[in-house]
Amino acid sequence: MSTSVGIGFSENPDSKAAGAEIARAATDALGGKDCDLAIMYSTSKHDPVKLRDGVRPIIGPKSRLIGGYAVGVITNDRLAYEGYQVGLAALSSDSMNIDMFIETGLPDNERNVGVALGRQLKEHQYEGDPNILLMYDSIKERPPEGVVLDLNLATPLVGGIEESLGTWPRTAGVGMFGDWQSEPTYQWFDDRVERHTAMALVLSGGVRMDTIIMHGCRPSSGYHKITKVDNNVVLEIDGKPAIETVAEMLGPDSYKSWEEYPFFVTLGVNRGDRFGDFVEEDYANRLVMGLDKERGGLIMFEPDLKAGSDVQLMRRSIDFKYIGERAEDILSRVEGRTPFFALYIDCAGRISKYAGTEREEAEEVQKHIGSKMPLLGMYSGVEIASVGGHMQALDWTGVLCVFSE
Amino acid sequence: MTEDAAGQAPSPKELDYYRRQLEELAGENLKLDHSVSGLKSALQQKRKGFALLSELQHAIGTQRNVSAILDITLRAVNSTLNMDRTIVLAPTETENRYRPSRWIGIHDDAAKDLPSLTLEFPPGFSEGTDILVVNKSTETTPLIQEIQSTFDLPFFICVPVVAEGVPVGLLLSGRLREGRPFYPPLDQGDIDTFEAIAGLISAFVSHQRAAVLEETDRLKTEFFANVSHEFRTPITLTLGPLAAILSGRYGEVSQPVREQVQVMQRNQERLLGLVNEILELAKLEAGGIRLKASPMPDMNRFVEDTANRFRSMAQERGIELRLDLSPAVAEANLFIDRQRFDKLLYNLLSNALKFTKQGYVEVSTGIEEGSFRLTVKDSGVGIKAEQLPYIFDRFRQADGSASREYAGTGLGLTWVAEITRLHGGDVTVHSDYGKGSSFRVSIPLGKDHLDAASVVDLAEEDIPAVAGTTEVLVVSEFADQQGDVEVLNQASESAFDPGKATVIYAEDNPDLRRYIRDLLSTHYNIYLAADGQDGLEKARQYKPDLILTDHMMPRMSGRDLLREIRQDDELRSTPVIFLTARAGKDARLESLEAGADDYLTKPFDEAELLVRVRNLLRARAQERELAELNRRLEARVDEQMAELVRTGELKRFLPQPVAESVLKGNIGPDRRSVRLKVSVLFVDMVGSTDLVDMLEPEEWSSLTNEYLREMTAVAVSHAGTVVGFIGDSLMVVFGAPEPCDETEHAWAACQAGISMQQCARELATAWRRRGVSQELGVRVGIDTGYCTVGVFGSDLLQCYTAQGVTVNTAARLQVAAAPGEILCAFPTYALVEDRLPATHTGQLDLRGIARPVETYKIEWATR
Repeated sequence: MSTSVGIGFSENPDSKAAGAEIARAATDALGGKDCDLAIMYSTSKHDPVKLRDGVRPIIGPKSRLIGGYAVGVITNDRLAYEGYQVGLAALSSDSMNIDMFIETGLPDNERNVGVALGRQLKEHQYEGDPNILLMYDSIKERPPEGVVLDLNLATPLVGGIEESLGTWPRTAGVGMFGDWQSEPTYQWFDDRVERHTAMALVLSGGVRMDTIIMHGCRPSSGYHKITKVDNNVVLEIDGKPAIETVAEMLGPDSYKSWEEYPFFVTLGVNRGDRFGDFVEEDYANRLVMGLDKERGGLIMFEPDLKAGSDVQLMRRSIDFKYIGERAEDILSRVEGRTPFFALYIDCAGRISKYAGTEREEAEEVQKHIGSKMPLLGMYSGVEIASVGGHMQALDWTGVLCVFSE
Repeated sequence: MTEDAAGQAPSPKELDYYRRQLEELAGENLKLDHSVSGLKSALQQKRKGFALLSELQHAIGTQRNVSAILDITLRAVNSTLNMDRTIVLAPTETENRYRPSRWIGIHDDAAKDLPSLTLEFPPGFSEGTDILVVNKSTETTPLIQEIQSTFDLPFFICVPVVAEGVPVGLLLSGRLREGRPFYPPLDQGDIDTFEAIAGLISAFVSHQRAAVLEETDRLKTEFFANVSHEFRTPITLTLGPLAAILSGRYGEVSQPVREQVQVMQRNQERLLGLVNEILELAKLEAGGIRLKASPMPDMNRFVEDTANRFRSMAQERGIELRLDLSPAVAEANLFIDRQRFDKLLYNLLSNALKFTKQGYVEVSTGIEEGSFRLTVKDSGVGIKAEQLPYIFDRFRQADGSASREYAGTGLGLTWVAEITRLHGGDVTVHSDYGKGSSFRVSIPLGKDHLDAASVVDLAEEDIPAVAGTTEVLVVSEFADQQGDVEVLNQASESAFDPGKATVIYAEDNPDLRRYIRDLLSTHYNIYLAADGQDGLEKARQYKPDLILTDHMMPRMSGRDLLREIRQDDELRSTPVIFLTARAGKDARLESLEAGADDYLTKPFDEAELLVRVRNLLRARAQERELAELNRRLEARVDEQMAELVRTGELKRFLPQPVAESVLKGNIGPDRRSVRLKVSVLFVDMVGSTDLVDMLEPEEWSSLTNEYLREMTAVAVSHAGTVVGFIGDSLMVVFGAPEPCDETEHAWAACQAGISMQQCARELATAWRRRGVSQELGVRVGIDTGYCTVGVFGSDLLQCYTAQGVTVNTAARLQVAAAPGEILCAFPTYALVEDRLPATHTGQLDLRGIARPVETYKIEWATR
């Protein structure tokens, strides 16, 4: 029983040539074995059809192909974003079962899509424990002026899947987008090039996926109560328009209007001991992605903050040492098994350029994980992982998945 | 809850204080984070810029052409600087207009129209002084709006790339959105980066250009040397037999034959002289000629001897030749290569005399600051300030235009410069345009500045005589060129035959003039002209049936002569054949753009020239016959027109624009034929034959009339005059009856063609809906040229139309076009090429058209 994995990376602006380059590099590492599954991520600067056309002849007609757009790509030795990056993992296995499911029509219909996808997942018979990797199109459409992104929401999608599926097996997920411009995000599902889909890759038959979450925020204020919410817009905090509350917290001497801060102000919900030590896994952080100026509200990435929730203002804090420790932690979890592939779902906001860090935090993952197994990662819009026993859409998070057999 | 040191719980006020402090700190932290993040982002962008420059520098170093550099730049900019779209705009032939030449980040569908677009930028972009940065706070302008809409790019930066003052292109790059933190506004940091990139490309281009020039120069020198060698052998082999013929070795030579052979001998000798000059100059530049400098005890005598060889010629031309020779020169320790220096002085003097019509030429010598000084000054035409920097370049004449007044190879001053250089001296020129020039040669005294191998110790008797053989040749160039023209024209007048056509030949080369005269005089009354100006005067004097003209001539070029002819009421319809030394497309451009009826490239075939002349004269005769017929009809036409005007029935018989002009009183009903440059369009419907058989006559008639009505409306809307229907085919004339600028009517014809195609497409769709299943398409042919336009016909039927080769060409192009195509001939294309995309489809052999027609397909479907 063995699974082989090869990784390809390219920054060639010629999409078809780039597709061929990554496929060739990845399949070359399979030692002559047929490629059974290709997972591909690319920035939006590429043409999705040409990429697929570059990849397909090399991975062969029988190989499954799945993936989509990302802000950037991470591999064992490469890490880049905002350019023509494209990465591909080619997997060949005589022990792993590969199943793929897809549902389309996400915009304004996330829950129903989730229900349908969950139903497909539920109805399929797996050999051994299934491990689910969810991928969905984060971009609904180009947003109106003043709003940075107009998103397909993960929370109702996850809720819909859960409704059909019941209990979650080991699962991680990614909300995909190819840039911050809200250019259309494309997904590959075998030879289909789609938009607005939710897809599930299920690996079963002896394979196991372990995940860890790496946040990038620490609480920085006391607790404030959300008092009014409309879907993903937090309208009031502490009984006042949310914008006013945040403005008060930031003080009147802001060097410029804090309204320029979307993507910087983050609210955190502590599901653990309210006054205990900081435990990263207990926090679900939610990023503000725009302002509803008319109603004085904060437009959040996800609609899961409810009236009555206590939130804290979070401060960005990426601890490089901690990432290394977490990476070592997941390796210890798979002791006795053979880890053959790691997938890193890394929030695009954690890119050093935006996070203000000296280095790229993903370099730590490359150092600790990439040195031990093939690694493919992508910079994502939303990450999905289990928090406090619940499947949760996350912001500002890195979700590291290690596959072993 | 914690307690203080005394074990007391903090008071609510104290707690509230800590809470407020905490909140404030949280806010401060957040602001600090944001600020740091912004700075980091800017820093990273800057780092990326540096990395990009370094990458480009490396990449550029390995490239050999600008295209590859631009491709690398596009990719790197878009990828590294987080830009969404990057475009290179290349300069067009129109100053300050740029065309997208390559791009990245634009999908194929959106990019398909880009190559046909041009954008006009302020001159500062071509000069490299302007840049454009557009972010949310930028006040918009029409140019900004045009760029934004053309490339769907709201925020951008545009920097010019200029190398050595010549615009290479514009680098345009930008983003679809602007908003912190991911897309901060483009700022000074971005400007710095882009300016550095532009500078890098510019440096590369300059370097490349210099390298290319150097290589070209080397190859040119090599080429001259090789070609000159190759030429000498056949020329020498020709001169020998010619001399043998003239010596009578092969029997007695009659006077007419002797004259012809002498022409051949004279021109072969000139050619040999020229080839030798080129060969020697090439050798000199390649370092193949070494100076043989020896002491020159009496330089003044040397100068005087050389100058005296020009004295008789100066006297003949009424020019004073002055000598002002300093006694100090006689004692100077001067080392000179006599043979070379004689050539130097000879060239300076012959130039001075050539360019001086009255006044003086002065040669002076002196010793100044350890150097011998020779000055040749004249009161001639002088040299324009802008031409002075190039005066010593090879083959460069101060006036290089087609109408320059003075013949010559342009090598003389190059020799002066090269010989001076070999002597370790320098030559300078001062000139006051219109008043005269002064050339000053300065040679250091002694021999220390000379290469030891260049100094020879010659005994007086070994010193070669000063070369004087070229005097005769140069003097002959000054011979009165007008003289033979008048003598020969008098002979033609005496022998004038009214039964023959009259031809004028304008040419500044006397031998060629005689040759053509001998060739044509048996068939025509031929009059000669010494140049374009003379040609115009002779044309007004002799009213020729045809003019044959050279292109490059003193005083007035052939092109200018042609323009004058076309502007002269009496002469404008005279056919003109252009003789040009250029080949290929240049010849066509030169001739047809100038409005010539035909052209021949030198050297030409005698038979071909005769055929061309005969054909044009025949066409002219036919036109005259037509004119005569018309004259007879005119009275009748005028009468009928007057009647039609009176009854308002005019529109039934004349094209609407003509009728309207008549009715408005803009033009009278008197429609005499005139020769005008017009654009002619033919359009017909393909597939109609099948329809005729398929449909009931009423149905067909209805469809045809609808088609003709629509096409007529299109033609009229583009200021065209529909002059006739033949079945479903229409002939439309643009630029008549009311003449307009040729670019205007050519453009209108092309636009009409495009509109007709679009209209036909709509008609076909409408007809399909009405159950006409037959596929329909229209074919369009367009040509521009001179036609005879007017009312033609008989007593029973007259119509306003155009006649001429242009009409035939347009009709044949229409037949050659595929359904949906618009074909135009080169003259039309040349007038619209800046504004309309077209594909060269090659040369078409069209039935009834003498020579292949350069044809272009107008790309209309993508518009």
